[in-house]
Amino acid sequence: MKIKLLITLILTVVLLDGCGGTNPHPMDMSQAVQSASSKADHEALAEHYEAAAAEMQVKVDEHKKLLAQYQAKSYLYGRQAEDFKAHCEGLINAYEKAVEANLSMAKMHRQM
Amino acid sequence: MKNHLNDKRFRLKPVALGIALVSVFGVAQAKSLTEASTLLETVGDPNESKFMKDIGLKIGGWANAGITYNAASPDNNFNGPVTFGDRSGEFQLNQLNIFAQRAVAAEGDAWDFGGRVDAMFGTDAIFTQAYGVPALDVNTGLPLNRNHWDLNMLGSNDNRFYDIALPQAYAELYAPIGNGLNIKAGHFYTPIGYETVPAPDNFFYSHAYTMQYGEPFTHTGVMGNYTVDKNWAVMGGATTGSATGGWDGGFDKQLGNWGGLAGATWTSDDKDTSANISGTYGATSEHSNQAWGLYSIVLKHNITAKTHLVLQHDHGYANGVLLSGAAKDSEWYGLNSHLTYDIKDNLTAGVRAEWFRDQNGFRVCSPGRVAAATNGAGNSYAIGGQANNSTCNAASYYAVTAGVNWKPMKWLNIRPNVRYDWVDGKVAAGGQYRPFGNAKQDQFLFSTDFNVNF
Repeated sequence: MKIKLLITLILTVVLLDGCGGTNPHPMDMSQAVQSASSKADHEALAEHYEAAAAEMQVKVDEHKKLLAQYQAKSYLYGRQAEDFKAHCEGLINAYEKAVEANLSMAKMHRQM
Repeated sequence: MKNHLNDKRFRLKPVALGIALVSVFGVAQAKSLTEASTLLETVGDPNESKFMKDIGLKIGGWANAGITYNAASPDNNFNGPVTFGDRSGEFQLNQLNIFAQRAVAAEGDAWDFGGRVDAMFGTDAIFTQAYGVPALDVNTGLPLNRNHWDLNMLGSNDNRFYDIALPQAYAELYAPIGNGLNIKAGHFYTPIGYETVPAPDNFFYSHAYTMQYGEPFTHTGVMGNYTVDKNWAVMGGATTGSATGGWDGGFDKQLGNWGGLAGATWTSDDKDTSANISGTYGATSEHSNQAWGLYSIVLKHNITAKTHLVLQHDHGYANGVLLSGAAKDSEWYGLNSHLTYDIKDNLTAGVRAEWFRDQNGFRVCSPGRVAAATNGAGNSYAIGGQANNSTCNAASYYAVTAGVNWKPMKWLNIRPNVRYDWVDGKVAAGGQYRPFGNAKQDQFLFSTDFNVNF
């Protein structure tokens, strides 16, 4: 069970690094995940991923505020309004995925 | 027995379809009318489903409709050179615009791919079609083979006002190079100027001459945007498919004529002030090396948190264009200003004042729709196939518009406004140019429209 979970964890880290959109985690975590052996190591990693999720959530909230402004007063942005709205939505989606991915990693480490 | 089985299968089909749809689109929680930003959110926005989120796809749109009272009571029911609400006393569904977009995450260190397609139905469609290969060549006056992207899909002598436009169809790439490079390739709205075609992104229902007659609406080509630092951003690109200097091009004609787009934007540290200069430059067409260009300067400043000022200056030129049977170098230029004040969160008042000079009578035609709907034989479907009777005369146009934006719901914007237009120009035969009403020099309009985002 633990080996399966470890493989899943490593694959998830590799896939997250390779897929499109904003990188959910700024550091290469492959080595840290492979080195983790004790319950304490996994707890530390879980906390690390939760902190990363919180950081991404701040970005989600910031961009949601910006999007609300672009939607409410789009005439202030004129020709750029549609791009501003779209790119903001793109970033919100990417950061939300990053939050989910980090929380998912944290959950898996807590199960180790 | 056989019928019984068929009945069962019949009953199962909608159930299976429902399950499939739910699994693909999911069911987002419906918001109340006051909470929702779009009308779709009130019934459970499919864009919030896991499937759509996972692939980053969004389907959206808006409907914009309005009506205009013209105190000059024109017999032809056109509001002179004023567009897009160009009909007097007639309800207009200006824009029913649907789009599908995969927006790129335009920051960070990962490559991202996306794109957008817009389809617009309504009376505004003719103004944003890819008409950059005009019916008659601007240098020779000879008929041209027009492109086949979105021209005259519905417009005809029996359907004078409603048409379809496909103003955007582009692929987008975000490349994590330097501070991030964004590239669009395809057919897209111009980044030049201030007022724009999508109704939700303008303060007023009616448009400035600067926007309608002084600038391109779309381009076909490639365009890149790069953020230099927190204060500076630059833009550059290459345009094709046009016989009007890279403006409003399509995909299948004039592909040998390439022009350029360029611009730079400075934004202050506190984001309260910005300055943009951008423009186009190119040869007029494949068969004419005459220059066609434009620069536009847009200054924005938040005077207070609630008071916003926009100042704009455009200057365009097209050399060697055929006017009254002779080739002339033509110019157009002007000043445009918007001042808005936020009375409440959902109520803003605004004033626009503009001067626009069409120095040689090349840009502003009255009625604008009649000129736009004219074919190579010189007949316009906007007047039921009669010979084009629009007038284009050298003149200075002055316009003042005042109005409010009221958003009783986030997804609904109601925009009543009053507008006064006055023109100063002489006709060739002598005397004052009078394009408004039934040969008037000025015009008063009261119009109101609403915009629904869904």
